[in-house]
Amino acid sequence: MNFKTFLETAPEFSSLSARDIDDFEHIMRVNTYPDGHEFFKEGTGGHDVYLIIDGEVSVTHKKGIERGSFEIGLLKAGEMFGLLSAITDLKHEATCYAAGPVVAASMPNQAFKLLFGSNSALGLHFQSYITSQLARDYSSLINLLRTALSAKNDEESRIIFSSYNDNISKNATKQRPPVH
Amino acid sequence: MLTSSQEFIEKFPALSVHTPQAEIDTLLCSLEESYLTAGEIIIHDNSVSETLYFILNGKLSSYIERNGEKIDLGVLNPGDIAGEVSFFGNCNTTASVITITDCRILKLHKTDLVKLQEITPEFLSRLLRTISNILATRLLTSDKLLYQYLSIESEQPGSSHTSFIDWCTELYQRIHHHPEMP
Repeated sequence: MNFKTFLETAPEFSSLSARDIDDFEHIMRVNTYPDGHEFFKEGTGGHDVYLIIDGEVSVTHKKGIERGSFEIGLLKAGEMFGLLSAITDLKHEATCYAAGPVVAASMPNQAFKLLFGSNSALGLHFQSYITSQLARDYSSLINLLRTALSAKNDEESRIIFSSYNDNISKNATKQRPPVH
Repeated sequence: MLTSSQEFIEKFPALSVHTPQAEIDTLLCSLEESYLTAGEIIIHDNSVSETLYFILNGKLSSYIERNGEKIDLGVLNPGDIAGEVSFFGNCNTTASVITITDCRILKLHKTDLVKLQEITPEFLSRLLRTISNILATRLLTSDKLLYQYLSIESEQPGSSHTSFIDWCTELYQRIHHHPEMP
């Protein structure tokens, strides 16, 4: 499936106009990455923003100096990563690498900054989508905390949180691409 | 007293920079000015709200409740914005907000958001980028704190915090804290 067809058929992009899809197709580069390819490393910044078209990307975090890493979650097709760091210019809190072959579209960091900083119609559309998505992700995180805080006691709260902590990790790390 | 464009620019410099004063004048026509007395709740936690609040004067406090007890999440000052999560995410509010002192605020209603694209695209772009930056910073902070927790828990379960509910409360407070507007 080519990138344009992917954009036209993925539910996350259902509200993009034909013109927006054409514009995004021109901005983003599609590549195939081998198993184990490291997209970016925890503690670094200034990288591209990626959209997974096919395959899975593992998100990991170091336990400590020379104590190895643990997996936080797996990102799948339609999910975006690298966005939080690109917006804030802060360093990545996790390492992302290909778990098997991955086809992904990337938006170079400079292109992201140009689009995100533009007050053109496409720029506003892009910013509007990102703001909405971040607000929903933040709301999901708050809802989880709210549920954990509503527990009767510490143990119950910990169980509630543990059953969701994979989702919260993924939600806090991944971002979906522009919709609407 | 009606808000002047000069006052708005002084209170929200990061949002107003590069926006022509005439556009700010037009923008102010789309905002509703309100005077509030101390003790008024402007946002109820976990409810639907379609208003974005720009604080001009006074102080407000954000909080949530747990088992009838208030958990303080911080103070909002002139130049701050409130209600951004439900306004932009079409989701429920994430905290209650109450006035601590008499306040003067400007309200942007959801139905007027689309008008901003025509009236003042530069202001709208800066507003969206500012809110995105605040939310992205909060999410990155939560990532950091959560990964610290998971890292310790993966090696010594139960040792990351003396009370898990305290840890959740602390996380809520730290990520909800309103950073200074850039």
